[in-house]
Amino acid sequence: MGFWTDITSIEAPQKATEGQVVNVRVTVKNIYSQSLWVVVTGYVDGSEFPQPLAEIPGGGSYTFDFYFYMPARDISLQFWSYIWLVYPDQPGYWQVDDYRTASVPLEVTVAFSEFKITDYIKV
Amino acid sequence: MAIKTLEVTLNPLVMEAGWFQDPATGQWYYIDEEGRRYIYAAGYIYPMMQWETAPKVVNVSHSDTLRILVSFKYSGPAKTCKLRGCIGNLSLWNIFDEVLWQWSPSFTIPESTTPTTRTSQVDIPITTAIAAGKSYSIYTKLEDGISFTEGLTGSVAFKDAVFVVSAEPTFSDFVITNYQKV
Repeated sequence: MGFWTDITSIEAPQKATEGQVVNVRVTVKNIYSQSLWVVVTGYVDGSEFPQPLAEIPGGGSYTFDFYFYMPARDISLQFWSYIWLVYPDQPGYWQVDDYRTASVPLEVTVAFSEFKITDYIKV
Repeated sequence: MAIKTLEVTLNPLVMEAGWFQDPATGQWYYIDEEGRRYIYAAGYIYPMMQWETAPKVVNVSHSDTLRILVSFKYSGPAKTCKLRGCIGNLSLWNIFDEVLWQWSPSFTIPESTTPTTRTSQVDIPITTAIAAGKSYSIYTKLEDGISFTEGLTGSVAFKDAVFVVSAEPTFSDFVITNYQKV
């Protein structure tokens, strides 16, 4: 849990097959009493997701949607919530607040092919 | 269930699952969802096999052992199975009539995310269950939780791949080849 926000959940499939579209939903709760502008950034296997932005009322929650294509390996997901802070007589800035991770293991499907007798000998 | 008329060769790559009837012979065939082919006879369906002429003939005697080596590609989680090797005959409707068979010890195919070539082998002791002086065919398949699909988890059958040599001294073709004054 962060100081202003709480990434309450990361919803992702328990497994995914190679090439599958993996939808990820990140829910952030504004634990501050007033409305906040929140952006969520995330990384999938080192690549950055787009950064959606939402205004979340005080005490409210908002779910951010992401997706990626499953590669042929297990995937680690990382998400950060940032809030827009403005102090009097100062320029506003994005403040990192909460952090949460998840993983999506690769689901390997069974496939046999090209079965053949290569040789047969008397031993 | 839809019944279709057999109009093409029994190639699972181009046929849908279902029942088919050969209009020339009236014979019924069934192809399942995974392309396995069966022939109907007397209320039962029997798996059909593809037969190829054996690339060579191996002469064996009773008490010898025939080793069959196979290769296949596999992707998936680690899987434990056995290889079944069979010696037998071409029976009616392309059915492989197994006479002698043996399983390999259990082995585990390692996990692989991409199709990877694996090899295995099975040894079949030659017993008197197969007769001396006759030719026999062979085929193999993976078993233990793996269903048979020709070309995927099992081989085609090699026709007359093995010849059983008699263990008894055998004379034949005795002829006089010449006679002369010496």
